[in-house]
Amino acid sequence: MPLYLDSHATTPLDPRVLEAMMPYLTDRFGNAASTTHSFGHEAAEAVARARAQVAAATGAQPDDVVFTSGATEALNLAIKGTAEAARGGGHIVTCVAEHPAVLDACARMERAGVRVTRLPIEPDGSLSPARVAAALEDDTFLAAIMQANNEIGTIHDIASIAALCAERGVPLLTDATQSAGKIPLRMEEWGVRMAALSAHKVYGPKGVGALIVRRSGRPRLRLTPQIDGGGHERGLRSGTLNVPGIVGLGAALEIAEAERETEAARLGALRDRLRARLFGELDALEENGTAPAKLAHNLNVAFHFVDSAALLNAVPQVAVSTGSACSSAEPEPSHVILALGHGEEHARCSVRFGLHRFTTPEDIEQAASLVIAAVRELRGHSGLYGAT
Amino acid sequence: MAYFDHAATTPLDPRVRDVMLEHAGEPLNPSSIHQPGQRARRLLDQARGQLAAAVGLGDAGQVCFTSGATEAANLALRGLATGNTGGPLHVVTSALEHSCVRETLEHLAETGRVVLHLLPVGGDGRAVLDDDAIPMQAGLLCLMHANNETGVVQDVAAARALARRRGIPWLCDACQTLGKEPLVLDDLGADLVILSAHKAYGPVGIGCLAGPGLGRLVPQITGGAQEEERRAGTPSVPLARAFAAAAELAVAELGQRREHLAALEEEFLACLARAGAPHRLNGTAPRLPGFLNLSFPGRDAVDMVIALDQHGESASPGSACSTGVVAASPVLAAMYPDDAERAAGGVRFTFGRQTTRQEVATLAETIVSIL
Repeated sequence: MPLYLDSHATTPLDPRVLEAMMPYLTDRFGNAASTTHSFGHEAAEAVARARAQVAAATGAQPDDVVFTSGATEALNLAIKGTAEAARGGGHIVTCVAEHPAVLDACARMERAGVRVTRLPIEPDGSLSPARVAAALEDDTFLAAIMQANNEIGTIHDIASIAALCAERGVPLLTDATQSAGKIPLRMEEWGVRMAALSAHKVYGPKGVGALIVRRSGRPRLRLTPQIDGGGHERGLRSGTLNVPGIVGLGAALEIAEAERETEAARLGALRDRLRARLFGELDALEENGTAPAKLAHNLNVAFHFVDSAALLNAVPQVAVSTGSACSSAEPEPSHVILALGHGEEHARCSVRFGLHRFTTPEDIEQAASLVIAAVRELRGHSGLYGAT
Repeated sequence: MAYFDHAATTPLDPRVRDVMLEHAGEPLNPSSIHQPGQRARRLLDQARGQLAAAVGLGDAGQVCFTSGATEAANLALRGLATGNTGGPLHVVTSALEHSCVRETLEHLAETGRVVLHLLPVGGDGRAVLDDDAIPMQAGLLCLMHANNETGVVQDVAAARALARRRGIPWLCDACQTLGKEPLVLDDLGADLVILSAHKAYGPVGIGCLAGPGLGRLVPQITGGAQEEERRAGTPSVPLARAFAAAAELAVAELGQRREHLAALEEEFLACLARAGAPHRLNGTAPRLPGFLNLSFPGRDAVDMVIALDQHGESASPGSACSTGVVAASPVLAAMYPDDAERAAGGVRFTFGRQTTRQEVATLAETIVSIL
């Protein structure tokens, strides 16, 4: 296994999370909807505990938690569900740098008659809350703004955005997929109405996530279910509950919350070391997403004169990414880097590093050395680099 | 505690669990282009191929992984209804369908995207495929393989013939069938088939929609190019591999599983008969082995299963999916419209590969003592 520095795409499962899941992969196999026997009760109790863990980690109530198969499904439910409940028409405010799951759902709703405002971001990757507030209109039924960006790690001030949205009576949905368990989220306190997250970005298993929906409060939040048949999850999401996965999500968030501050400090120091080495030993580099509020484990760098795909090929020992994993099958340049005001050339030489819980100082030194050597080698072949 | 609710969910086969945990610790996202990502992609494609081969589907590209059967049913029905321009989609179905199909259809009907045409249901537990009852404008046949409450296998040969004759697609929910009846999808001839791993000793959280009809669906969960743009979201390599392993075992061990289940059923019914316990079998047409729905005269299903649970015997009143509230079974109500007591009394006993003869004998004794 190469040095894995792509934790924004997915994270390794923490052995402690797997340990929490194991009873539900062995003897406690009941269907949580089997209300008439003890196998079912046991499963339902485990789901209730996980619900409380997810609520505690997001500052919401256990009843607000709707388990899904992941963040993509959760975001689809939030956006398409509110748009359908708004019965065609109305207005959504979002941002150009959101994850494709949000942008695609918004684009589909736009084709169905919803107006969509896509706010720009600043060259440092930040988004001013005032800009969000100014975009709200009388018929805005949803604002969808991510808590932290999945490519450049910049953090948006969700507390302020939520407060401004609440003043205008607009529910705020935040995509917390990259931030859950890494920075605080206080849904109730801040007035965030919906948040989406995924277990596998926080050392939990793949195949499970949640949409946290605070339906109470004003104005009433209406959501049309997108998966019917059985009436699970208060009718918002049908289907047999993935009990081991849900237990894993709860455990993963609980562990991440408990270790949040020390882990952020540790990863921040490692990330700073990586940045210092790259910028100290190479020239013609530029960091993407320089806003001060940034995830501690993210670093996104443009290596000028080096095609990022060629760089990835040149250092197969280091697993990094050229953009978000969901779109990296496509050769398109990153929409986030373009949104910073850069051209395609810049986007095509940008690389995302994502550190994680199992990243060691040795990993960082080794990865830095390998990347630096590869960049020098590739630039050696580049006529453009020599010409500057 | 003994478990007789294998139609609700099955314990994870330890061999399947081993496959699932083999790569559990690795950060595998098949959409990533680096080495771990490429490895994830290979493992996912391999699992897709294994699953397709196990269920007799020649083209592995016709497998779309989902989070389970309910999502697969929603993808099929919403995907077809959304793609059907020029008026609502006319769907021919019956009251026997699982709630994930039935309730989704009802929701689509409420919002005018679907018009429902219900086939009559016989007391033997089968929908009656009467050609005359099929309207001209029919655009979809929705008929399950084996029913989840009675285990009765539907007349799938007639369904295939009818769909072909009318030139309409056929959606077939085969969740209960895998591992209990032979299942060769290319022979079955359905355009879309719904499968779920956890009904066949695989993990919860994964299922699929499979068949040549995938191409005509409008995707429902979007925002990523996964599953050939049919279903966005990071796929789980461990779950997909475990699903494939469960399907392979279900097919490899089909003969011995059927024999075991049939022997258990025989033993159980013999015990009840010996004790003279009065009961009626709901669904007399050929059934899945080890799958019984029984009504006990004068006994309500819920009272029965609660009494059984107090004796440590886990059975179920119909399907597990009616969360919280145990409603009267729409399946039995359709089969026995004139016998409300029978319809309200159906208790489902579904045996599994690890159920023992001793367990079913004790279950029979417990039933006799409750009666």
